[in-house]
Amino acid sequence: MELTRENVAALIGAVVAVLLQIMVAPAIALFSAIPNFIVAFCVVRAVAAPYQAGSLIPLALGLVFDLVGGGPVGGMAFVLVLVTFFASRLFAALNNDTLFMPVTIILVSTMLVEVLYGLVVVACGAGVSFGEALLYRVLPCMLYDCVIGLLLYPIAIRVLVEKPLGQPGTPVLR
Amino acid sequence: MALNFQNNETSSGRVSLIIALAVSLACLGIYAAEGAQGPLHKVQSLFEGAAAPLQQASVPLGAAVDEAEQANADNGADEDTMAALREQNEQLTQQLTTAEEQRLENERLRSLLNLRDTYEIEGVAARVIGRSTDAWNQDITLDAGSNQGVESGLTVMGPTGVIGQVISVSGNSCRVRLLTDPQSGAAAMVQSSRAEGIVRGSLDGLLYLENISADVNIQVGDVVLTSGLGGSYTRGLLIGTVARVEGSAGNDSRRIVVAPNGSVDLLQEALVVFSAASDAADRTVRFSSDDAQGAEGESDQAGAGDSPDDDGGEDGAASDASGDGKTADEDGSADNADGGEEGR
Repeated sequence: MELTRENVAALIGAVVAVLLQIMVAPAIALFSAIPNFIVAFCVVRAVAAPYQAGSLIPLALGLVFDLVGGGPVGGMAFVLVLVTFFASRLFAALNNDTLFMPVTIILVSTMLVEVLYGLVVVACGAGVSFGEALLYRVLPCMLYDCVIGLLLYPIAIRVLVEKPLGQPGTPVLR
Repeated sequence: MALNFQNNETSSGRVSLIIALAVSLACLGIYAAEGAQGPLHKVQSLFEGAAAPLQQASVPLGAAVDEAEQANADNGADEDTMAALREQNEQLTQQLTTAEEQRLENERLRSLLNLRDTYEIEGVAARVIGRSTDAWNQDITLDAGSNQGVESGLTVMGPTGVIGQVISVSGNSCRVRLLTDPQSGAAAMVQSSRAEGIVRGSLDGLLYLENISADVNIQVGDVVLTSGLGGSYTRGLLIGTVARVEGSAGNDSRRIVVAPNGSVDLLQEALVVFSAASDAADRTVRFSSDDAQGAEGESDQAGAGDSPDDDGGEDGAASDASGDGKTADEDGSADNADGGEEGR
């Protein structure tokens, strides 16, 4: 990995996401929903910088999440790598320089991460049915993560991307 | 809609994707296959121990947010007299807060000591320094670890009863899986009928008493204790009281909801149990009326919507079982009002 401005910003963002997850997320839990800053960061980065995203940071952050959180190690890493890859490729293919496309991909990807992770947790023996998991964990966390992701995107587009992609004269998110 | 089908993906990108997926799948497979003493579990335990000091930051964070809100509200008044009064008020509030904090801490510690004396518990007291960082695990981190003699598998009690079990230990901290976690299961028995079953947590936050024989008559207000079967939990410690019975005796599909004896959300101190009296199951815990009032809010929260009073027609025992949820008695009777320190 070269030490470009984008990569340094991504590394700093990753560290901040981990710290927020450990120190802040438990304090701002709403009922059973704990926000996942790591998921939000990885998904937002995949959309904000689709050509630089790669699989290394999602893998590393996913493993850290699993190791610190007590879930099945490798579960979140697998889901994050998979979903961020498809999110970045989808955005690269469908980007039409409007706000609609990144927001939609962020929302769908975040939901997908939570649903797939719920499946992994249930498959690894959480002792609950997927229906229960969906109702009591996946849906609340999904909504919380979507909000965090939407708040992060404007920041990410300024910090993680040096020059917004787009045709001359087309409106960009500033 | 413009479709930007570009072939910017390099072969190294595909390779890194495949490697990342393979690594994560390998980890997942090994983690699922290995036991609790496996290498990945040990690494996870190390990470949890390393993250424990960071988790402590989330405790004062809430207080800092409150202070910031207060400071923002005070911005409107800036006269000299108001400033002097505010300073005086702050001093008095500070003193009152400190005194109130000490009173509450005193009550909690007295409750812990009460349980400790009643059950002749040998163990170590610890403070809660962290809570679960994700939504899928209901656990807490305590500031006692292997250096204080804590081992994996030990029972952990709050001021009013069993709250969970130690699942991983590092030098000066340990992680406790709460009873309300769906992966948690404690061998339990009903104190009055001695019927044995398993108390399990669930995602909806309730405790369910399962595997009870269909012919056993379970009443709202019955006290539920750990049975010690399987050796996972110390025998005879108070878990909670039966808050609701869906279905009747003889019905295999009946569901028994147990109200834990206090909310873990507000828990600040806990007791890691090394051992307890051999006849702990026959002993009775009584809480003083002050304690009961102090924890009333917690118990109301724990039994929200499950009050035996809602079912109607229950006696005083049932009423206390969810009203303050503090009494464990041989026949399930309520006895909070007498202010007794303890009984056996």
